[in-house]
Amino acid sequence: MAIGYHQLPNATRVWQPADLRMAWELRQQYGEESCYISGGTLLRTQWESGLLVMSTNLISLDRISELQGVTWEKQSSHTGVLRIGAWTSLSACRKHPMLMEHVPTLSDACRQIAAPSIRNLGTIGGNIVSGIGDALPLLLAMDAVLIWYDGKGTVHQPIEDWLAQRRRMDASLSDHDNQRILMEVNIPLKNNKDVQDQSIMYFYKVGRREAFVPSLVTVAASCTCKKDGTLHNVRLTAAGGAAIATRLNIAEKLLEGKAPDAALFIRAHEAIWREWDAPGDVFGSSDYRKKVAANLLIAELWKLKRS
Amino acid sequence: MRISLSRATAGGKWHLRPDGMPKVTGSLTYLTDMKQEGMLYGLILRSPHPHAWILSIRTEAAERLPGVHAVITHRDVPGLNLFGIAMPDQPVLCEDRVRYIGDAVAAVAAESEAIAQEAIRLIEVVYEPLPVLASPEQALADHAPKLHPAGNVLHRTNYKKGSVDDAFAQCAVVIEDTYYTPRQMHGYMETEGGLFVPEEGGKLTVYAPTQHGFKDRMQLSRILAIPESDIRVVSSPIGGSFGGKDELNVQPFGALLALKSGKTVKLHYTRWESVRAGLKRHPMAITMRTGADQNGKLIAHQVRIVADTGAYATLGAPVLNFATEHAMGPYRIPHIDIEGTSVYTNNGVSGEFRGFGGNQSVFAMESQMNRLAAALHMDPWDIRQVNLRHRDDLGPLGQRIVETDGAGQVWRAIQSSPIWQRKEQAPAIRNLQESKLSMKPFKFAIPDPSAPLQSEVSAPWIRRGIGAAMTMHGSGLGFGIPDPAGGCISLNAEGKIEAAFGYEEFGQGLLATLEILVMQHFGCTTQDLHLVIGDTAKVPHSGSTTASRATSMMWQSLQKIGPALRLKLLEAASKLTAISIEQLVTGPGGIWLKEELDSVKEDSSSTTATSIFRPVITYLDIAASGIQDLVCNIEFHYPTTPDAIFGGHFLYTYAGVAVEVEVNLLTGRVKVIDQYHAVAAGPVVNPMGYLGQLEGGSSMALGFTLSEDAVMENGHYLTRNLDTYLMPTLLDTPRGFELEAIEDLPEGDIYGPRGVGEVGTVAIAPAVTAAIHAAIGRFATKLPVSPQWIIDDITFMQGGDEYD
Repeated sequence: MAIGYHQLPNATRVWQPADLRMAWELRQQYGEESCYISGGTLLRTQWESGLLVMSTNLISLDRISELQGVTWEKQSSHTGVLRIGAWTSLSACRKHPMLMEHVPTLSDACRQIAAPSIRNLGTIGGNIVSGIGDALPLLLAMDAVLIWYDGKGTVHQPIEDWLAQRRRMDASLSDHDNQRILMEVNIPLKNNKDVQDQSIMYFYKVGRREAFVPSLVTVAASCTCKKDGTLHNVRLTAAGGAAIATRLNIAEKLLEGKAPDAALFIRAHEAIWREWDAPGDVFGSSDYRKKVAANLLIAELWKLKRS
Repeated sequence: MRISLSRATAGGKWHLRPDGMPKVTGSLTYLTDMKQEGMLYGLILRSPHPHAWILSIRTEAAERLPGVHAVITHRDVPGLNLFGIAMPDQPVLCEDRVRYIGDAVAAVAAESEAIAQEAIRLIEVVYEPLPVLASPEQALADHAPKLHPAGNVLHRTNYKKGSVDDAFAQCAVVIEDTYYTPRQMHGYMETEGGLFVPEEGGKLTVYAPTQHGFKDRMQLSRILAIPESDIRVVSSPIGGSFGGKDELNVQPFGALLALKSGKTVKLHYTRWESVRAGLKRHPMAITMRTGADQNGKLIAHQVRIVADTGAYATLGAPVLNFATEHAMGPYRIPHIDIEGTSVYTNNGVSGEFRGFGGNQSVFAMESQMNRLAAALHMDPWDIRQVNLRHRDDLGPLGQRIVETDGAGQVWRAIQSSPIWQRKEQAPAIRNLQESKLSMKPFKFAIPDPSAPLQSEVSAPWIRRGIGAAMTMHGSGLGFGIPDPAGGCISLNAEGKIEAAFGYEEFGQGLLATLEILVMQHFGCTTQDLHLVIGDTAKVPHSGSTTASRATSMMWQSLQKIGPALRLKLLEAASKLTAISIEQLVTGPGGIWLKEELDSVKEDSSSTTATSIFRPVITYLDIAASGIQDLVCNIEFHYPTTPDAIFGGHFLYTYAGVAVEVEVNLLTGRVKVIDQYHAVAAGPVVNPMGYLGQLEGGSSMALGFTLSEDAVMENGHYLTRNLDTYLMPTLLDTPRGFELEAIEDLPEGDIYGPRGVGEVGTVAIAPAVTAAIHAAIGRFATKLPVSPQWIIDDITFMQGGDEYD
């Protein structure tokens, strides 16, 4: 055995490409020896816990102007799209006047992610592409659309499709998908002026303490209640722990167009409990997560109906 | 009249801590922040197995790695390859067997952290895994492998009084259950670490946090086989300890690596390593059977305590003694039968932790009291009154103790506290205990300013409840254990009044308390003081900073030597100024004429008085005069009971707490929204420190009650970092906090202030579970209280009317 046969690991290089094209090319060039990084807050915990080894080439997305900023695009008197750049920090999302005006629930959801110092670094894009970010169930309930750069141009993908893809692949996407860059998340909004209708956009995260905590259960809902008490455009979603955000289709169908009474609420509650396949762990069983998701969502609809 | 302790009520007694500003601005250099040019980085290789034989250890490849200066294994320990404060049974570096995943097998010192990490990877250890004893039950089973030569029982306790078996037959009601407490982690902000500097002639200086520098020095001397006098331990300031740094941690590795390499070595655990190797609070399973007559008078009390002490002893035996002594609460019970067993397992090592076994016992005992009250349809506070100890009663183990009315004082304070009064005025809460749980909206009798969003409160799934609990808590180490105290005060060459004590500042406010005490004796200012702590080269033996004893011991030391030094200073001043002693007094900056200092004090706003009057001689002038022997030392023993009952305490602090909780029936989450503490611990020396101990202690106890548990599965931690091991955040802390400090002591009491370092952590858990019971009608027996348990048998929309 020769002395010095053992080499210390190579130092990591950090690249700061100025545009999407350059970022994409770096990723092509270094392949498995590279990794995109934006805030780096999740990667850091994965390196520390040994889940991931730090790539020798970190491709930082912080200089890419296409990933930055928030814009409101009015489409008609009643509709528009809120476009949030993927590099927008969670703190910025929380405090951005356009988010506070058009999607206050999303601002509030961002407040419940991690802690202030992490929100200053962590981005909405990172929260999404992690596949387990707290914002996902809400973005799903909002019918958000993801805009990707795939080396050739931009690709629009409903977040529901992307989540389904994630689920099918068990969190390991194809190389091509792994190399795409999330540019922005678009949230379509209807500015419903009918004062008779009550609409809700609901988000609730349950952890094992009040703040700076991984989610056990996160639910979101969006729905409109007409003055006759019927519910419309019902979206119910759940996530938490290792669970990828999912729509609760059966409960949605049960409630859509109906004016629920206690009996129907109880049926919808049971439907959620049966439909959501929540993975359990030592910190919260599957049963607990399912029950809490059903409790929170139905209680919120009950509140909507009662008001 | 009720006076709560706060900054406002403390007035002029509020004393800013000297280390406050550097701590909050981050400018303070902790020992683990220290660096030295050319120092090496130390790392430790630990066992991947909770239990295994070591077949071989090969370090050649690591030794050959460029940049590696020392690799050590058991072969490099010159002295005793064991440590442990009470009983050394933990190997510094394991030789043939590992007993938990924190066990150290080898360590390296290298020029960079990266090289040290690589060297650790190059050490080859061959293990043969052994069956893992993952619980006391497994360890006590027949044919379980022996973890130590004497078997798997570290220690047993046994206390009997009267005849329990016969007495249970006379009881109108008997409650029996088993209570489980979590493996709580100290969670100090500063993880274990230090700097180890080899000195001339084979000597060593250790800069590493500990609660007892001299004890570390003794243990290191045993391991290194060098005289204690060759080792200097600098041990303050400390970024939190809570009992967790009393035992050795990095010190043996740092010392061995520094001496072998001849270079300064720095070691500092990551949080991951701190969780893996560090101490935790003993998880206990406590079975209690408690009987009372129809009036709630306790008759018989039987207790079985099983503590998981983990792989090694450290202070497992004294912790069990303490748990045993406190398992009957501050109550009179004629028939008692308590047995405790502390069991070795292949889990993480359990050891000293704020509360020292009292938290576990008191959770069980106070829960029993609440359940007896519920069974007898009595008010839970009334049943305590019926059974409360009297001021001249013997201690829990039948030993003579210092007489106080602490138990009665605390009982009355809680009884008249706003939270408890609110409970009296809201009978709806009490009715809920008996009525079957329904989802009907729960309205409050009186508005509560600390209530969160009104909409949430009126939601049918939000329930509130009020609960309370109390405790007595011994301070000092107890009968039969060497518990030295002492200190030294002097006028030093710089003209400062120097107070040297072998105690440590780990955040509790010891320096501020010492400043206050010395200023009280000399009438001087902080400018006249020089405090010396945390350095074996400079301080006398004062015993350990533990067991709620430091404030008490500094106060008693200064009572004994303060007047003597004062007299020496006055004599010196008299000699130098030719003014008679009777006319002189110590004060700010030096020795004053009594009447002049009085006029300054009387009229501090008068510029004339303050500008004209000055000390007749300054402290600096006295120091420069060459007068010798301006120094007073004292060594004494912590006061103990005259009765030879091993571990029995003599001085007790009493505390009670009432809390209000809000339970969310949708999620099972419990939030404590208000708390009222009453503490009877004699005079308050340092209001900020006292308040801080109670605020911090209660937050720590909230974690114990609601979220903290270092979960182990088959000898491995599942909570390996602070992202799964969850300590309370500010948002988990109640908005309401009130502390009533009861200062009255019986006339003629000579012991002064009692410690409050631990007692604030003890009674919270049973108060919270009592409040949860008031809210949902069930008593939790397992901590931390599981949200799943809360909602387990609640059916959504039960009592459905409200949802139509």
